[in-house]
Amino acid sequence: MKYSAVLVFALVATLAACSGAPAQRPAAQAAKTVTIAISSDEGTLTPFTNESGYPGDNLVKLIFDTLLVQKGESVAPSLATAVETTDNKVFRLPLRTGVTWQDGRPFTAADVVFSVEFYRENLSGDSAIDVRPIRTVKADGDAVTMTLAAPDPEFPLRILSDMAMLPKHLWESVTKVNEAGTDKAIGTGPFRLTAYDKERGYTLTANPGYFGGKPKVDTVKVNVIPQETTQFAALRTGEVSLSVRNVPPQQRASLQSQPNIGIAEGTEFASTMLQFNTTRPPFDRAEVRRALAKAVDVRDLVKTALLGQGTPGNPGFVHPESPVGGPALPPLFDVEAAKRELDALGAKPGPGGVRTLDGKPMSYELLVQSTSTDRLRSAELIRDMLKNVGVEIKVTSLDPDSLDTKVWPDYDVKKGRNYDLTMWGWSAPVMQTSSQIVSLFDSDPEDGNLNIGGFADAGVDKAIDELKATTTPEKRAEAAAALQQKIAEQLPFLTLYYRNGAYAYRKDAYAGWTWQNGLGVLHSGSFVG
Amino acid sequence: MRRILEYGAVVVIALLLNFLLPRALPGGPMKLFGSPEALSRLTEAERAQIAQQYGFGRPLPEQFADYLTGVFTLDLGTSLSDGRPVAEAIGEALPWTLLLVGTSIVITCVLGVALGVLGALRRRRGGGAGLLGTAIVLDSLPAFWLGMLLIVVFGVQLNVLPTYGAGTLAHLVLPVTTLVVTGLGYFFLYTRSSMLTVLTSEPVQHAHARGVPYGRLVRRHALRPALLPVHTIVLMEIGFLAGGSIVIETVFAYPGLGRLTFGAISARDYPLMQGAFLVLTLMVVAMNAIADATYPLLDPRARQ
Amino acid sequence: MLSITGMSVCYDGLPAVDRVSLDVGDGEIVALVGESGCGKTSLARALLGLLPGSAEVTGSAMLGDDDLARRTDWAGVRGRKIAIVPQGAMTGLSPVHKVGAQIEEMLTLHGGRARPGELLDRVGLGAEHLTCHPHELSGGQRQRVAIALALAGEPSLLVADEPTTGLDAIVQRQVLALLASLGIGMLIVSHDLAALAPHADRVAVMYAGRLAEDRPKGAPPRHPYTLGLLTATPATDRSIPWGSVPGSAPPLGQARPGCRFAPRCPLALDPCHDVDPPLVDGLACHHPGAPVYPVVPRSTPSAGTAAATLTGIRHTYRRRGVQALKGVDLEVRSGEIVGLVGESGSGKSTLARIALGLIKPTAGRVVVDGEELTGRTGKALRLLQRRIGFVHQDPYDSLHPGMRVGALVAEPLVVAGTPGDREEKVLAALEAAGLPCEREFLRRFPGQLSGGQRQRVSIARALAGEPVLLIADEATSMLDVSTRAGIATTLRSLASGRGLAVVFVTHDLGEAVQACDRIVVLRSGEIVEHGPAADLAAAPAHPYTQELLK
Ligand code: SF4
Repeated sequence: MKYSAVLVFALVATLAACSGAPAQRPAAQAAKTVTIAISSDEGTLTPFTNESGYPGDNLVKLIFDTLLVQKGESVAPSLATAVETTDNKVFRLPLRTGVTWQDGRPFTAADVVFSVEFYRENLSGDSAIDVRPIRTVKADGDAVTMTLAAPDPEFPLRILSDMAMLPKHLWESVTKVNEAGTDKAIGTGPFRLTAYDKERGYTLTANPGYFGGKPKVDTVKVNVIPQETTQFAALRTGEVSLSVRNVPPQQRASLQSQPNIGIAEGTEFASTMLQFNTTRPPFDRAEVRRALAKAVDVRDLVKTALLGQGTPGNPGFVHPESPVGGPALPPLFDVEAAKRELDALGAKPGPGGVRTLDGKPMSYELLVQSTSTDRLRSAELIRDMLKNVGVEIKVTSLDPDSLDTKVWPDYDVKKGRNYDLTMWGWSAPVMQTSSQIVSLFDSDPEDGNLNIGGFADAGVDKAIDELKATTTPEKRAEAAAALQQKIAEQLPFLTLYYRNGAYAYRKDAYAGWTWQNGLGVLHSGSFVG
Repeated sequence: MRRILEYGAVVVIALLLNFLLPRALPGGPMKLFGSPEALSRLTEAERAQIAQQYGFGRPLPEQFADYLTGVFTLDLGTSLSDGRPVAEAIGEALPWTLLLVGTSIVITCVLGVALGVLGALRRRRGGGAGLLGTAIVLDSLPAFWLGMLLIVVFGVQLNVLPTYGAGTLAHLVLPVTTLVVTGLGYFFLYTRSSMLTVLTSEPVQHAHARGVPYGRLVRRHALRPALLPVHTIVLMEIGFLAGGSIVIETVFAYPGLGRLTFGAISARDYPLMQGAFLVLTLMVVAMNAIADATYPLLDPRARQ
Repeated sequence: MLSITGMSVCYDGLPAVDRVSLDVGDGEIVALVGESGCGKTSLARALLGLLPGSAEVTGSAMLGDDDLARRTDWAGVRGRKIAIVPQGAMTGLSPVHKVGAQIEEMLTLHGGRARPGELLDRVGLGAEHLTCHPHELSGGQRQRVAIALALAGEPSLLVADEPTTGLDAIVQRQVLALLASLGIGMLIVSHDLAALAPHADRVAVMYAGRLAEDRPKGAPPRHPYTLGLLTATPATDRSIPWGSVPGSAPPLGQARPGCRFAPRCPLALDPCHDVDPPLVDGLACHHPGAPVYPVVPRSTPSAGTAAATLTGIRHTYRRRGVQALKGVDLEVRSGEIVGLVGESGSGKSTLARIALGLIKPTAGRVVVDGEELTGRTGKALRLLQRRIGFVHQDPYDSLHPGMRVGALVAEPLVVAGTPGDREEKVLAALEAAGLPCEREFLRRFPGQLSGGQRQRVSIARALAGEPVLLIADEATSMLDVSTRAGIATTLRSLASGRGLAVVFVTHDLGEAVQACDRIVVLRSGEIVEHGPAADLAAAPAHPYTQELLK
């Protein structure tokens, strides 16, 4: 299938070269209709029924608004006009007045209180928000006050700018959230869902009374096209105006050469890493992990597997441009050091050049998702790099479900794990705030719910406690930087790279796409203002 | 009577498999209830509550009893991914698939059989060899590849046909063409070999010896016996294809049963998978039954 | 009316028919007789232009003014002037059309004036059969329909190719009588000299592509080969011996110069090997005489112990609901040959399979060598089965074509894990089965052997396991007539020499009378008569046996 896709692609390129290039048309700054291709169905587009974070959550947020929105690395007003806090524990949020739900009913503070309580009751759903840090929520006139269990300077970015407001009058009767129908997809956002059927996809119609201004596009059609190749073909014909697929580095040039196709690109915070099972010897020893990490040239991975379309991983995990920020740590790669350190560990080369550590040959299995081209390629490169220092890697490719079952059974780190090494990736939100990041490292499985390597280190736990105790943004940034430093030493996993985002669109259909780090181009900012 | 019992046994085994197969896949439907990151925050009790509420957490025998009751009361349950009744989801997808499959089967069958007969009659001449070679090539063409090729040529380059979706006749052209072209070889080769067997069979050889002229020999003596096995495979093919062609429906973003099934499998949507498998089972069994029931009409030897 | 002169048929240059001349007069019935591969069918099919493209016909075949040997367009000739009842006509009718429609088709095509009912009447069938499909008719009835189809175009000459093959003995006689009564010129091609002789006005015998003899009805046969064929046909009279012609006919294109029959002829002298005898006065032989052929030895009844006892055997095929055996008792003693005779459907094959332990009878007991076979399963069954040898009907099917003779015969020993020198045992078995006891022979493949040799390899294979009981299921039926008695001779020597008990299953009562000590006649799953072969042949008690013996 893959091979065929390449053949077809080559054919497209050849045919494209033969035919006369169509005339370039002017870029459209407003449009009647924009058609977006997504890869799979997204349910009824409520915060509880979309199927994926990206692009499902992005589509939901075109219909539903949040109290604040992410802007650059900070937050900006949306349904709330300001954030008032002195201690980062009690937040008072004055609400925008005169806002109505898309069915005409007014938006009130009662809706906000209801939303928080509703999320507390209903934990499932791709855009559902974990509101447990909010201890109380009270309405007072046109404002709400939220009190947290503990101070959290990142609360506005982490929760307030992500929590879609639900209309109380429609949602209070809902008991099974995953069966919420399209009649519940009523928000305050720039678009309303006017049609949904599995055959023709979704139709979103501009909400002329949107408080942020009338959207520049009248109708957004969203069609499901499972095949990447078909999506790009439909983009070439103009049947589709935007594909939500991240353009693979190999196809970029060919798409870009088309006169009417533009590529919107920017930084993405989805990360790819080499995960160690730190509960299984010898990966339970930081020295071993460090030595292996030094043998891996992450720059080369970006150059070879991503054709340069990415950023080499920061040993401290966090992308330098992420809101969490922090100093970029120096790269670890140093083959000679890796060899020296392995020697020092007593790992002498044995037969076939494979080192022996503690009486066992250094030969390990590396799992990789069979569906990911760049991870497959990277896994092979890593195998070759580790071979250089006398460590043998057997790459095993598995379908994602089988791999998850080995690495993260039931998505519950308490259930253990069964692997040596695996290629892994975290979605962008994991890097959004430092309180999110700590869940990767905390040795307590309740707090370290993303700690899939079973990593435990007293020093790191202490740094996490210190971070959690901070109450101001500045102090928290400092603590986050310290934590990153520790992670770069301990290396529960080696962060390999962050892929760049590159999304192809028809310039002649609509060219108003604006890039927002963490969201890409599919957000209300691309249509309003 | 015996037949009915046999069909009954097949259906019972199929029902059991339809129930067990989804649950034998790695992973489960939990991921429908949030991203892995979100799920990981849930406590054991919270997970259990969701699994209980949506049914897939209950003991297997209980689930199976429920499933069986559902099948016999025609209530296939509710899709875990979007809360729609499974019957409704299938009801929407099935007509699309039947349209696609029905059209392609009719065209494939007529073309394939006609060319197969021709190929058998002309086997020694250049045209026949050409047909045979083409059929073998077509038979081995991957549907995915061909579909993509057609999209590129007729959609992108010539820009005369839509590349994806459904709804108009134009939308049907490329997927039907792909199915016909990839399915043609099988019908052709099957008909051809059946025709060749019949042409060398004793009844036809004897009719020749009795002085029946060639044209009449083919039309009256060879054609009907040669098409007897073809009748069975046509019906079988309809049964299998009614499950939708996953590849074609995916490539052309066609809203049929194949795509629905594929989605259900990747999401581990147990009720939807069960429903889709049930439709497939019933189709295959029904087509088998029709083939069995109509065969004696065509072949007097099979009459009691 | 038909005059064939110097006709040859060559396949890729190899002659299957070699300069044959033969006449068929108006209303005359000529029987063309010979064993498989003698060229008789090629000759017959050449007359209707039915030979494959690789065949080349020379000489002439004048039907009136029409030279059939040169014809390329057969419209208006085939079916109209000359018609054929093809070989295997029972399976050659269109399965999907009714009998009436098939006859109508012939009438329309060939401009026949008769009505379908009349044609059926002429071949001895009622008009009610017009609405039948062929599968609803018996084999004999289908053969009659095939004859009616050939008659539809009112041809002046009818060619009947093996019209009796595959039919039961009684039906065979009826079909031949029907053909003889039709009153049109006819060329009947057959391997069965004895059956045809009474009906034919003239008998022509072919051997290896050449005409050996062409004599009118009543004239005594003179050619050594004809005499061989006659003695090889088992008579139901024990006083007439059953002989065989040793050796086998040469394969296509391997005939040597001189008389074709010389390698097998007991009368051959030097000139026979060099000079091809011309057909003079209907005989192609340098010095005819009274050849002496080896015959099956007569048995001296010996009372051994019971090797196999079957009691109260009943069997019903549940799927088809057919009651194949309705309570049959059978005892076979060591050293004797028991003939199990019956027509198709009599249950004789079922009984053989039950004795072999291949089928579990619905009721009854089978005891082999003092041990009960029925009720055994798995290893115990296989252990007892080793004491029973089996020779299958089809020598072309029963031997793996990729295995050498040595391996084939040794296989039962290997399976049983018999220790010791296997080759010694294999050679002994080959010798007992009447095969050359040479190491070279062990390396041959079945494809390099004649039918008779293959059947002997099957016997040797059965003998290697040193059985107490040998079951030969129609072991001679697919062999050439001239070699059948040879197999029977071998079985006899095994019975008397080794004390082997033999069950000789056959549809041919004559063979049983000639080869067996005792005969059991089966009909529709019941024994209608049994007794010593001589008594049964001399004084059959049951009318069915009498009918078979006619
Ligand atoms: S010619 Fe000689 S060999 Fe031939 S049949 Fe006569 S006697 Fe025998």
